[in-house]
Amino acid sequence: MQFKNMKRVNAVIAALTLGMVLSGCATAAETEPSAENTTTEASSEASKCETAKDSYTFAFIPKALNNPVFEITRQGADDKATELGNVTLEWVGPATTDAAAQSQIIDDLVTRGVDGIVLSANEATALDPAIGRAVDAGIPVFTWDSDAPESKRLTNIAIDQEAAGKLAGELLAAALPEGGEVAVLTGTPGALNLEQRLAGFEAGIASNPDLEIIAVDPNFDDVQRAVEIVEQRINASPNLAGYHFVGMWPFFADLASMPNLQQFVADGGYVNSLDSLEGALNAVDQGYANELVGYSWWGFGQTGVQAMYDLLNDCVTPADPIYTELFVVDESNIDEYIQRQEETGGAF
Amino acid sequence: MPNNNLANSSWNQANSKGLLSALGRFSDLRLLLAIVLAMAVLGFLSEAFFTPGNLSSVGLYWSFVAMAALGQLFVVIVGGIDLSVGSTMGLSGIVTASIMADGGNPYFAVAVGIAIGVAVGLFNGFFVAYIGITSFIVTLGTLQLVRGITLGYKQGQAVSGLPEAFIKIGSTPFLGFPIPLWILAGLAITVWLFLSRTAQGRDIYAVGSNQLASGLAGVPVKRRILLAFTLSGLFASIAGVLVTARLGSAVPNAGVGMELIVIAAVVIGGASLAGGRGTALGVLLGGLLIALVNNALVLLAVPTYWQQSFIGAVILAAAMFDLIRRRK
Repeated sequence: MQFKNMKRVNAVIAALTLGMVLSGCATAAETEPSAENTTTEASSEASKCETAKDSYTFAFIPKALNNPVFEITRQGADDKATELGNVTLEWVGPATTDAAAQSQIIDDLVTRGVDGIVLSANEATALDPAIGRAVDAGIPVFTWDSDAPESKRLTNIAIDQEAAGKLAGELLAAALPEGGEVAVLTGTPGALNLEQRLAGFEAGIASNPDLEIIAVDPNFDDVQRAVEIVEQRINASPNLAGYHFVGMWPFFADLASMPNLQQFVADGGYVNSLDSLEGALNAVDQGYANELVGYSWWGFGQTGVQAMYDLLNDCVTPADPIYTELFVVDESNIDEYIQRQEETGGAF
Repeated sequence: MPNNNLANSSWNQANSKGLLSALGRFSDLRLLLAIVLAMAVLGFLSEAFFTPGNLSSVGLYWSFVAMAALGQLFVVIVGGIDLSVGSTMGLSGIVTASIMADGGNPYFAVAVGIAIGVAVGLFNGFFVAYIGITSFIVTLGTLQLVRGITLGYKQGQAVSGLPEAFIKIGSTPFLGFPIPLWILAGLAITVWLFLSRTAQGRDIYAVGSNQLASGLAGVPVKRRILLAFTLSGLFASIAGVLVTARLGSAVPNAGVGMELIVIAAVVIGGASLAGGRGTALGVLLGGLLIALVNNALVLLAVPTYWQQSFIGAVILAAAMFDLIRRRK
């Protein structure tokens, strides 16, 4: 009897064991991929960029927090980060134009471990060491607007500064075929982007040897100084035929603060400026300037975020440089740009 | 009354009568003559100098610099320094502009802007006078603090769309001179009367000449230092509001670097950074020289990269000239 029972017990045990093994195999078959599927999925895993993450933090560093021009770029970057959905944007910079402060900020961002840095350099070479430290720490760096060309940055998102200046010079030369005296308003001497624009402008007017640059006045990025310089320059130069603004500093002030400028244009003088933000558009619209060489500050922000995302998420190396398109605003299309400005708040 | 010859001398010079004394001081007269000579030279080198438009532009810049410099004068006389004036100008301007741009009453907006300057001055004065921190450190801190508030307040944005009536105050002529110049004249006369005709003015000179002795003589030293810094903030905010009116907008970097220009104007005008010396007329003349130098950069088309050196050289020359004539 005992032996019969043991047989039955053994049979039950064997049956249970067999059942467990068979059910385990079935479960395994449900969860484990086939050899073919494993290979495909393994390939997919291998093809994903190793820097890809669920979310990213990008830091934008403008030249200074006190320059309203950069706020449009911030808006563009914000819009793109929102669109992508998994990008957090940090906007951090020095209170005033200060390369040393920017260098410190870069180091601090490296310490915090952001995923990418987009920087508008206050000086062409002073930030090379800090950029190098960031890149060596595995944080890619782009520049926008103002470049650090010899650094380890991957790309510069900007306009072709020389081409922009040259276009402005050519427009002025075409507007003044008889030649004459020309004045130039610039910002802080030595700023790379401004120097490139100036060099381009000089090349642009070279086609007309009767044009003479009588003064290049720096306003050191001070709007009040810019307004005073413009008014004083026009007053001091009765033979002035043309005036070029390397940037739109005076147009951040109320246009009525520059009656000499308005009269100059009304009397047949020619004025053009780089930049096409709202104040500059109003200047053309209200007779304080004839033409603008414009580009999208908003687009810099958009491109910066997208290119950094593409690099980190999809291992797409950006082109170097990434140039933004230039366009000319004059009386023939000013209404269109004014409308676009009103509809988008400058986000174009 | 302490035997304080220096304080008495400075105060007496500010208070004395007579034609030459009516001009403030004999040394101020020499500075005035030097400025007249400079204007003559500029007029000779540039036809545009004496044109109404150019003189109006120079006058406007002079008025803003000199207004802030009049406030700085009080601080320098008591032996301190106020590095926060540029930042105060910027914050006052942008807050005033913001209130008006949002539809607020312009009088209220201006009052708030000026109150901000007073508040900054009180803050500075309190920490210098009652806590005992050196003015350089305190105002260096408020320079950054106030500039940061200016940036954060509007997230770095400029403010425009201001009422026409307000903008007109910034440059419209009245009896041939821009309104800010009239305001400057009124402020300068007020400062001269205060320093030369009041006990508080005499106290300020005394504190700057010898703080210990003046305290022993019964001068409320801490209160006078507090007053000096408060007045500096007040004048800076007035200048900031008027710059905003002049430009018709407020930009977040307004006033950056202005503190150095203002201090230069005060020193060129004869005030001593050691304290105890300085007059309203001297400040007016120092501010005028600064404005003329800036105008000369444009009229004479000084090469771009040398302009800052040009400015610095003129300021150093003026300071050396002042030092030499005082030692004679």
